[in-house]
Amino acid sequence: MALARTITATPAETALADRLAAHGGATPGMLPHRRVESYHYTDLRTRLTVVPDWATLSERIAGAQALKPLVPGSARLAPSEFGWVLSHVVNGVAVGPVPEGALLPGGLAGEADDPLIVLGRALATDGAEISVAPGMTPGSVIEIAHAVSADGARLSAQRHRVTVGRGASVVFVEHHGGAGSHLASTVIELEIGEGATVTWVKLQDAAAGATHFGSLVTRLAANARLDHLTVTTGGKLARSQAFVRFEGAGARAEFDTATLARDGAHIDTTLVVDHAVPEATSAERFRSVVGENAAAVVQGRILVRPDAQKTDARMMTRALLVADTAESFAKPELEIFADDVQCAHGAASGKLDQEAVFYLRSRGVPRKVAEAMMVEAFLVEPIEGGDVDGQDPVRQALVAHLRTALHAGETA
Amino acid sequence: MTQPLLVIDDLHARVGDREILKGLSLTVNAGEVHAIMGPNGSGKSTLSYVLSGKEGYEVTGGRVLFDGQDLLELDTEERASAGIFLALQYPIEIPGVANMTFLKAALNSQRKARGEAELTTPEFMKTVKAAAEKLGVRPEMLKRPVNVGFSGGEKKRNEILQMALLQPKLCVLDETDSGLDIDALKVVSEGVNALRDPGRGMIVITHYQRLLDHIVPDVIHVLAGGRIVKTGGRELAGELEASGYAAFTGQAA
Repeated sequence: MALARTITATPAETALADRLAAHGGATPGMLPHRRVESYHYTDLRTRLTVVPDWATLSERIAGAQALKPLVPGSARLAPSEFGWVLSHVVNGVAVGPVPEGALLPGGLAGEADDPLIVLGRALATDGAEISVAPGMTPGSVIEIAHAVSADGARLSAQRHRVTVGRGASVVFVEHHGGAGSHLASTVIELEIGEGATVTWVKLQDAAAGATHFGSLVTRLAANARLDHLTVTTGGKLARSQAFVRFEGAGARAEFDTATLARDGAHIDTTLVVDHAVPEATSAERFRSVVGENAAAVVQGRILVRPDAQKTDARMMTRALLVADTAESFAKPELEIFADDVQCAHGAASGKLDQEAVFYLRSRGVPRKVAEAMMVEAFLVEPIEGGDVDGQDPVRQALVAHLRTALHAGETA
Repeated sequence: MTQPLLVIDDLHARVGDREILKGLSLTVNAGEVHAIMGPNGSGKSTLSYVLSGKEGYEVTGGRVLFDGQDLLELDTEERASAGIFLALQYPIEIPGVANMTFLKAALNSQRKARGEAELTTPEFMKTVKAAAEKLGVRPEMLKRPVNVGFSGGEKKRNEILQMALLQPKLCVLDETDSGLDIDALKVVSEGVNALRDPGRGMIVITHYQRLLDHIVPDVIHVLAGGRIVKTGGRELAGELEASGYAAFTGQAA
């Protein structure tokens, strides 16, 4: 630690030390940089230039209250003067303060050493412990609201722990928003019990100047299922990372990610899936639309351990570059130590299909409208999933959000 | 005397460094169906793309008047709104865009461009459903992404559905018969024939006589080496079927 605090400390590193000292935390180490393999494309030593001062509790309460819920009628989990509380009672869901203590038992996936998890845990001032009782299907979507209402820039950092009991079925929305150039950090641990089903939506729609660091560490017991949907439409600098570990056979996790990186934004999505046991299935579909001077980074690492026979793991990364200055970096990694598995990955990046643009124009659709239709289709497709008839309120809300965000970009 | 719908006069066009159309002239009046036949590489598809203003097809000489207007001055979408419709030989797939959304965007874009009121969703649905039923376009095909997973026949029917909805003044059908079995050919031809109208012109581009048994043209042109080398009545199709294009390709070279 002392080494990192020598003359080489960047202004952001110095500021982080001050923020930590303010609540008695340890001095941070050096921010991860391009020589750290998993941060090669997102060099935080260079990119993180400012660490603002702490947000007050009232700024955080006001921010969460001002956040428009993604799904109408959700139960909102938000900070209050009495800690994190639910907006209304939801049968089968208990909420309390997040306990101190170690991260969920880790593996080779490296989450315990991940610089943003270490930093996020050190910075975290508060958070919730959420438990869903075994066998329960809560009647409301639970939306965790993260936002700060303040002019200028603020720092906020939370840590949540979520336990979903055996056979339960629940939908969470992790919502990050708010105006201003804030720096927000969250570390969430999610334990999914045997046969439980979790839909976890992450919506990152912070202001265009904001910095977002979000990490999810999750464990799936036998026959558990996780459907993870990430929609990113905000932030100047963002890294959303998930560390997933299968601990029981028959578990399944699917990740669909739609990223809209515009106007110089740098959006990093990093996923590590650890197949520690046999007969688990994982699928990742990443889509990014990248505009002027923006960059989308997608790192997906699938680890199949020697005992993890009958693993089925698939990953596909696609980026649509809509400006000449747009950049896309895809780093798929498969590490397979078992021999009876099915694994595949692919990555593609390119511009809009001009044949399709011509087709639309030949029917009278103006070029700009045609291009917007195609960009929307590209981004919406994985989020809509098979739900073209609009039966799933969560997916439909995300699709509507994406459409609004795309439209806002056209008029800007 | 009414002015012709389309006048193509000494049209030259190239793709990259290759000159493909070398002085093509053609006049189509409203109410007429013109067939253009010709061997592979004669410039049939190039003509259709030049008429719709596709990028990469560069006009190097001549002029095209559509409804008295200089067509070559217009963008692709403006040509569509002016009333030109190109039914593609290979309709494009657009993943993620529902066919219904596509049809609505097309129809309302054109109406907007012409200063007409856009159709409301119920009005539009009613119009589409009626047109789709006539062409045997199943409701699922309207919900599915444009042409994705459609059979060859379904794609062509979808083209004719668009034509029926958009009610163009000039329909250009580029090898609409390719990839169709005889039943699909009948359905598609009936759809085209239903759109024959004294106010509408059609250019039917084809390699074979077969299509012209179903869509009977008023005039047949033979296109070879980038220009019209022979024009005649519907009997010309039979002659071509018997003797082939060899005489014309020799003449063009």
